[in-house]
Amino acid sequence: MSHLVTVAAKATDPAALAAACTRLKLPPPQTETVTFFDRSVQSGLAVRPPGFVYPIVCDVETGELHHDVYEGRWGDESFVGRLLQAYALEKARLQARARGHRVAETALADGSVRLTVTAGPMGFGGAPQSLTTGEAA
Amino acid sequence: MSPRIEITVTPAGETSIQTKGFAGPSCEAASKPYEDALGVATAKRRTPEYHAVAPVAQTVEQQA
Repeated sequence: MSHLVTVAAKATDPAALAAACTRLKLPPPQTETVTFFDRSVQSGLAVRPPGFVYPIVCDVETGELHHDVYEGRWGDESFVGRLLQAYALEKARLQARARGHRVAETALADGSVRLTVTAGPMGFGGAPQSLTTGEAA
Repeated sequence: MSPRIEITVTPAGETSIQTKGFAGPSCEAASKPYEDALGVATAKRRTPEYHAVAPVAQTVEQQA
């Protein structure tokens, strides 16, 4: 029996965001307050992809990613999606690890990535174990 | 099919979670922690497999 859920990913976990940066071969996120071109100010974890004039600022309270790429002139807009993709994958991996589930990762032809999660010794009902930030990488 | 959860994330960050091979509504309990961890569920539908009749174990009593 089965069901399908669509989720709007929210980047609220600093450990998963750091793991996402490692996955994308980026420097770890840094806590910063950034003033964008329109003078809006955002504080949060800043990720600096190559070629970006302004960093992508992650507000871990709301999970929103703030950026200004000026129609692609100040950075590749698609990279914001790739950062969110990497975040979701790493967050799901952390969740699986905390619950003792097994994960297999498959890259799909369209650039999507699929994680196949199967039960560990405790089945799918196991209580989560807490993870420290250092275990996230 | 052994129970499993498939989490697919597109290059744009769009995320879907599908359960397969579960018996009854346990699939929803299994995927809920992943839904909650990843963000906010925006749509949910039960696949035809969800409504399939679960096989019922039949007991054959042997008469002595």
